[in-house]
Amino acid sequence: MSAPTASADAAPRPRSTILDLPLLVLGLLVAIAAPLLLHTSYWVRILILICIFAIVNQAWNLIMGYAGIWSFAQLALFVLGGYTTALLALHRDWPLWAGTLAGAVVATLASLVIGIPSLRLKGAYVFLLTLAFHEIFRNIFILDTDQRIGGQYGVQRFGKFDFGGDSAVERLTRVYYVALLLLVVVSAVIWKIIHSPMGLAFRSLRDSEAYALSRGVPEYRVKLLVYAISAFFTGLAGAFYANYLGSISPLNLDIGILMNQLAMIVIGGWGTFFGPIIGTVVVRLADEQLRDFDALRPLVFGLALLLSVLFLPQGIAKPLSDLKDRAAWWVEDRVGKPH
Amino acid sequence: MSQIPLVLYQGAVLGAIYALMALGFTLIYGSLRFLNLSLGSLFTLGAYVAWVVSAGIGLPPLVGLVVAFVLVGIVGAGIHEVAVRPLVGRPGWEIATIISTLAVGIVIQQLIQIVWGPRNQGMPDLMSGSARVGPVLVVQYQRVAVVVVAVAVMAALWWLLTRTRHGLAIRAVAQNRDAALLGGVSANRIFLLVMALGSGLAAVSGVLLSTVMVSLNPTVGLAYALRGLVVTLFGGLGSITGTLWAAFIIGLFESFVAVYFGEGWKLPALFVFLIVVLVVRPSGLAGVSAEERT
Repeated sequence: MSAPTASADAAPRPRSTILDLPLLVLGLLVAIAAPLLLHTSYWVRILILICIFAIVNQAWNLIMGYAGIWSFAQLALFVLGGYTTALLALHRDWPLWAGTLAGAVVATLASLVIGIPSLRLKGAYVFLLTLAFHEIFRNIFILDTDQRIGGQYGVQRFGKFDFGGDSAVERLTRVYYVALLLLVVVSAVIWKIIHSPMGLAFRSLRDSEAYALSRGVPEYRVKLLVYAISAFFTGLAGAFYANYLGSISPLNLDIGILMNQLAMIVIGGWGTFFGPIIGTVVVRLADEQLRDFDALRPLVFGLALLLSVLFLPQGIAKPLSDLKDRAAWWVEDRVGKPH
Repeated sequence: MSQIPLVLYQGAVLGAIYALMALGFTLIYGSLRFLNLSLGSLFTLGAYVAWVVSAGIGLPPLVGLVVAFVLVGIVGAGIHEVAVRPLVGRPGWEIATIISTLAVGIVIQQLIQIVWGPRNQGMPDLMSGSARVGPVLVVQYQRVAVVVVAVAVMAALWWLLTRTRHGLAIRAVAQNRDAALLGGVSANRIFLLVMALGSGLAAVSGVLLSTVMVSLNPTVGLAYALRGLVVTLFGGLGSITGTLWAAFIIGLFESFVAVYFGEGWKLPALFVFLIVVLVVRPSGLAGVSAEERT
């Protein structure tokens, strides 16, 4: 205990990347093996939803965590993607894969409609204006009294994804692998964006706006671009969700679902790359555990959200990454630094 | 055209109630510079407290109103200590406090649901009876009483803010926090006072609204918190006179939409209105720019 530790504090040991690749591969293997180990329709359905919501949360984290845009229109864009593919399939007989792409494109266009008035504003104003758009979308869908877009019951019977398979579990497993592939591709693209020059621009806007502006970062254009990119992925996930379930309705815009989604990225750790995925898994599984205590669910998530903001501002991703650092140093000491 | 008295009458009632709600937001934003999203649930909590006092214990509704103001004010101060004060000053604390107060709001709403159940409850009337004025308009004394109480509360607030030393301190902090601190104002005491006042106003607003609406249920606060926020933004965040104007303009607008287009279009029309306002005049009525307010 008497050994001085001040020198260690003064120069913290640099992070080691030695475990990054093995952990990534391990995570992918677990994700690939999961439906084979949990081989029931019940579990595979949960896994599919985890993938879809993880995409939504990755896209949300891109703008909330990395670009500092407090947009709460995320679910509105998600549901818009779903409605696009559903209506195109129902009325225009579009194939579902084309509808999925169209959903992403429509959500991107809608994000410009939302972004052009919102992104010139700052902070609390952005939060409120995007929330206002969320409510407008919800009301437009619900108030459709002549049922052209299904009113409050939404759109059903427009078809469902079918990638073949003999049994119900087998069919679901194939959908899961497509969803997982989508999640991996979206995450990889988001990783590239965050570490591109544009990523540097919006991260600097988040951290020190005055400095970023003085270095010539075109704030409005950068924000609008990253907002549109995030919306593309969100709409994609929404269209995939509608095609997987074979239905989409304004219920998906319920404020409770928005809170659940928020809990995922806050508890997981926003502004960290893997936080939203970890949060999605944790919150989704906890949600399933609490299925028998329906009334308590929002209470538990409300408390978890509060405790997380107060005591884990970077979510559970932070202690996990600290743990990983220690393990990596331990490995480094044993096998020597990689070159 | 014949509907105009009805629009004015309903608009005035709504405006008075929204003003109380929005004053809660704007007082808190004015001095602490954050949005307290737990006000929606405190609005509901206030209504339930008054309901217990008047329908449960059997005391007059006005006593319930006062009890709700005091109790919810204390809860608001507690929220400040638990969910706001630890966050202030951290990097990204503005959004962190939005999320933490939202979380507190969810918890309170769920507790209300567990304690009093999800069913609709009826609030006893402040007054009964009505009078017919002109061909279309039936004025209920109940609604007149609501406006009178709301105006009385606002007058009391005006007196507190302009005629007392605490009010002076609140206004000083709102104008320039650092200068106020240098002048010897105890910031944390003022923050606690403002949180308690704002929460109490939300509670009063909840009590009044639940007497004119048909029913009271645990989720009623959310829609009105959103309206309170719209009013606050329209008025110009942090400006009290702007908020009062905005409350009555939005009350009139809403009753206009409800009378001519139907109840269902109130909220969407309101949000479209908000978007137009923020695009044309981001600083709201009061004219302080959004840049200065962040």
